[in-house]
Amino acid sequence: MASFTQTYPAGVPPRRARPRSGAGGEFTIAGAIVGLLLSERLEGGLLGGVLGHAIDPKRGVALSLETSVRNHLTSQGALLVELYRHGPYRVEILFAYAGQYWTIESTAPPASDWTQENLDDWLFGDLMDHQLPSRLRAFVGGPDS
Amino acid sequence: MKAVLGALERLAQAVADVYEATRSDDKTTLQNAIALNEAARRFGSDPTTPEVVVFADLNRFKAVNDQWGHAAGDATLHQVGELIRAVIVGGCDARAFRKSGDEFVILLKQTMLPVFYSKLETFRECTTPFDGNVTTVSVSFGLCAPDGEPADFQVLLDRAERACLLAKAQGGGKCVVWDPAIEAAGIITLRTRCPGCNSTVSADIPSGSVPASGLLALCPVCGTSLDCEGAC
Repeated sequence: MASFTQTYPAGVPPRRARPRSGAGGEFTIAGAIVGLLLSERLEGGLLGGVLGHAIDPKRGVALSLETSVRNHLTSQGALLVELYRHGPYRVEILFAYAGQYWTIESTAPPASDWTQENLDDWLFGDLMDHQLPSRLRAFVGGPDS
Repeated sequence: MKAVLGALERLAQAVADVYEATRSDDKTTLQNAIALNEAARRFGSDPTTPEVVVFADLNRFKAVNDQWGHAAGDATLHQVGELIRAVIVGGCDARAFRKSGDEFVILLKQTMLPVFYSKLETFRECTTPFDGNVTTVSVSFGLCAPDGEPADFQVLLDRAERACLLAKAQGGGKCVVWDPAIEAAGIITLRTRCPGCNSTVSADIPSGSVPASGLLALCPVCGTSLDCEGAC
């Protein structure tokens, strides 16, 4: 995973962006699916996967917000149970840690020039670096960034 | 060549992950309704290990959703799923699925029935610590075993669900085994006002099945026992 600095709308406080995938992999899967659809044969899927892998530019691609949150929580010994999107700017997550269930939520400041990418980056950083530690401050040694 | 093999390995893993994801429940760590349908198609195909169908339903789940919100309901479902996985799947070598909402289906080897019965008390009160509070539900079970005829899964499931209605009338952690008398009794719909929370309650009850205690059902909102006097 590679670190990545995101640019946010003016006036929005900085937040850590989602991790970027180093080797891609989406091209391989997409190629396999296209190959399967076109040929309707397993061999076509395999060939499509190989071709997709061959043209993969290997640029860092952000994982989805849910996968990023899930991976981060897992690395802290917690388990993501659900991620709820309440409109474009607000996300709530339900997670389990130390035999208990907790919710935290994050609301991005409204701005006209958010993109889905930098919005999800901001929500990830806010959830993991700000909301999670404050929610679990009562836990000594809890999942903290 | 090495790159091609690597790509093939990743592709095979991706396909396996997608297959697994389509059969995994999104709210618990059990299997989902798609996996249940597949299991139903194969049900009874191995006569050396006959299975029974168990239908499980949560009590007071609506009250949790109403009082604490959808996230508390999801946490409760997840917690009960973990309990089923540990106690029944792990402890009784069974397969468990979330069918929909707060309904679960368990496929249990007949030889494991004594072990299953010994675990029921675990489900009389299931607590879930949630955001500093504690939600409480219980689980009732209905069970139906094949009767020698070629096993029709849907028939067994319907019978187990009907037996579960009776179990719910007896409270949490109870299991009722289907028998023809339950089928013959038919179902009546109880409509009454809960003396505990004043909610209007509607519940399906197998008729002619009022136990000695007179208990008919639990209020889905507050869990108050609705007795025969209240229903009548």
